[in-house]
Amino acid sequence: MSDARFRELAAALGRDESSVFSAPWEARAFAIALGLSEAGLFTWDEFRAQLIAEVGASDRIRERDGTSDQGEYYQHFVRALETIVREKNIASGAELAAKIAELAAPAATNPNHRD
Amino acid sequence: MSGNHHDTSEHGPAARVKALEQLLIEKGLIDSAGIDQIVDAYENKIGPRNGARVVARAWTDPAFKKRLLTDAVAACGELGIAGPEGGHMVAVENTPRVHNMVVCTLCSCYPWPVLGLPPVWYKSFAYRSRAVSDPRGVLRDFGLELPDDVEIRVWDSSAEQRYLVLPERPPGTENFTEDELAALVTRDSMIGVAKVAPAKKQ
Repeated sequence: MSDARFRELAAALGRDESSVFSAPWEARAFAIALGLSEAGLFTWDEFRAQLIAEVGASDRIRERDGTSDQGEYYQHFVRALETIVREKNIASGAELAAKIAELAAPAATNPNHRD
Repeated sequence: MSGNHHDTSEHGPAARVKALEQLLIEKGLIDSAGIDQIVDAYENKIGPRNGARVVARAWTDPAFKKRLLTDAVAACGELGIAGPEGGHMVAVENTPRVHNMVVCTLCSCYPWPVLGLPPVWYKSFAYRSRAVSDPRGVLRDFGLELPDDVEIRVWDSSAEQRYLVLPERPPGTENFTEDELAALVTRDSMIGVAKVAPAKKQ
């Protein structure tokens, strides 16, 4: 018996088959994680443990609710990256939140900015 | 849980990744050029063409094949293929009686130096949750119907072990050069969800 969810996923995501990443942010997130691990700030195995935790949490929700996979892997990846960056004291949650706010409102921090 | 005061999850991943990159650059921990290089390498250079070279060599050089099946890391190294996530590679051989397929049930472990980064479906819940319990059904979804007397071996990847499937050489390729053979080898055949289709020499 075939699993319709799997066929749907394969069909829906088929368009991405020729490229490794579905969006530029996925590529940046991957490269940041690999870059930090190559710089010795954490090992890839440490990052993988974090990623497994994120993926596992999402799997348990899917098993409970029977929801299908929309290809959220890199969203788990980004959460895992943010967590390890905090836990290794590479950057704090506050610093990251502040930077997100700063980039979201360039007009407020850059007097020369015009729309 | 720590960090909840500064929960970033209300923002989209693109904004969060951009902020993280910017912050790490300001801290001098990464630089844009280095990030660009990694992206370029995994988008354009490190990919299944490397694995296809390994497979084609194994098909044409029995001594190499033997080395590949006993020490895949060293054999790939002979072809200059090595790198992150390539330190624990094992090659498993398909035969008329045995079909190997690879999954990572926990996340996305995959032999990067030979295959690059895994496709979307490899990381999906549907594939990860079904490959072990119903490999025949999964292969059928990929369009591969195997006879009942073919044994399917499913290899669950881990931090300690990544797998490269050595697919069967298709019939009718006796006169093919190594490069021509490599051109036939697909990514999916090296994950074990497809066979290498025979092709006509041009």
